[in-house]
Amino acid sequence: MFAALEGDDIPVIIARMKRRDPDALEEVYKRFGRLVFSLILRVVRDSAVAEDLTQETFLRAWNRVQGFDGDRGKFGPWLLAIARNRAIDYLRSVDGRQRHNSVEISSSESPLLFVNLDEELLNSERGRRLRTAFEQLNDHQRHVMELAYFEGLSQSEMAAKLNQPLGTIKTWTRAALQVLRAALGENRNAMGESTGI
Amino acid sequence: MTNEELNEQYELFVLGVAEPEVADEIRAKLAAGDPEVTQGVALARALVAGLAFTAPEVEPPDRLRKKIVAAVSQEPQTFPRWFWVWATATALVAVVAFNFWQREQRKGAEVAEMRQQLIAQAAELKTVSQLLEFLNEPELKLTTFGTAQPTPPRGRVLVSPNKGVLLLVSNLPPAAQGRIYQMWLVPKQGGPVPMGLFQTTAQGTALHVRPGTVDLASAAAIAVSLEPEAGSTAPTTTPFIIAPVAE
Repeated sequence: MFAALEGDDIPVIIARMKRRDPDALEEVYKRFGRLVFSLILRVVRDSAVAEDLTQETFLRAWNRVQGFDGDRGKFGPWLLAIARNRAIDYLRSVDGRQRHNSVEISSSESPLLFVNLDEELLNSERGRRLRTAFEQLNDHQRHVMELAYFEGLSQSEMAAKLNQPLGTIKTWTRAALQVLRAALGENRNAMGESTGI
Repeated sequence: MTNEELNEQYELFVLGVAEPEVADEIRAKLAAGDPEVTQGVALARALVAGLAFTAPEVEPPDRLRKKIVAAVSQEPQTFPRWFWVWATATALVAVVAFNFWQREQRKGAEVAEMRQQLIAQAAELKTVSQLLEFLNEPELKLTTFGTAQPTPPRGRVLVSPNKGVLLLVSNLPPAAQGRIYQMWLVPKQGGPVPMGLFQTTAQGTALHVRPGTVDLASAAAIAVSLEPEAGSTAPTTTPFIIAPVAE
């Protein structure tokens, strides 16, 4: 399993990064490097490309860390958002896909979106629970979540790719999210009743 | 859409894959501060962050760490903000101290100059006072010199048996460095008697007083010669001023 990620000393490390201390970035890499690389490799499925994009991810964080609130922000989720965006962008450039929501993707890594989040947002235990829940999804549910997360497809794009009605895609997605939310102990009143197909 | 319908879309919104009209609606409600939507999106962000753990774990090559660290290590180091605050403050203190020191130096020079002026004025006052005393002497002998010469120096000598000798000279350039003018009393019998050293001003004038008593009966003349800076016991050069003392 991935090593412990967020810690009490993250704000100190962020402050050192802001002072342009290369050792601080190395510390960040030791904590998040494997997770970032694994995520990117899963998206692009090419080790050499994954290396380049991982380097690009850490350098992007290094160059933008001045805008990150080290006391209130959650560094890990921000870094992972950057990593996923780099990988999805690469995938789209290879596929020649022009997405209507490309702006949405790039704006989703603004440091301001990662403040005041759950303290336990990114630790190994939560990751383990989510991974277990993910494995419990049926094939349809897992497939739509993978298409959304690892390939950046919207539900209408999934419907076209899987040659399925949009309603079906929405049902699979809703069911998958219900399982994953439950794994994290979330109890949303508005959750749907469907348990999936 | 109702919030209940949007509830199914928060994760897709966070992933950037929600349909445009849905994303617009969530964004509008976030901007309006809708608490339910705000909380829903925050929870979705937490879930989405954890989805990275569903990727198969792969160890990156060690060279990747080295490449990343090397890339940022080549950057020129910058100093933290406190350093610049400290450096600026130190520089300001240094500038203020230097200005203060300069001002003190100027003040010191001004004080020294004023002291010199005071000394000079006191000397002039003393000379004027001596001059007045001379002029009040009843047995004053006055003689002039140089009037027949085509070139300077010219002047007057006042000899008082009770007050001494007063020499007024003009058109006499200041003596060169290491040299000085020396006045002599030349008696009718015997060698010249030293009567003090003096220097002329930049304008070539001098007023030299040698207080004391003078025996007019034995005095033949007042002379001036150019001598070494320390003065001489007897003239070492030929006197260029010789003013006879009138009987």
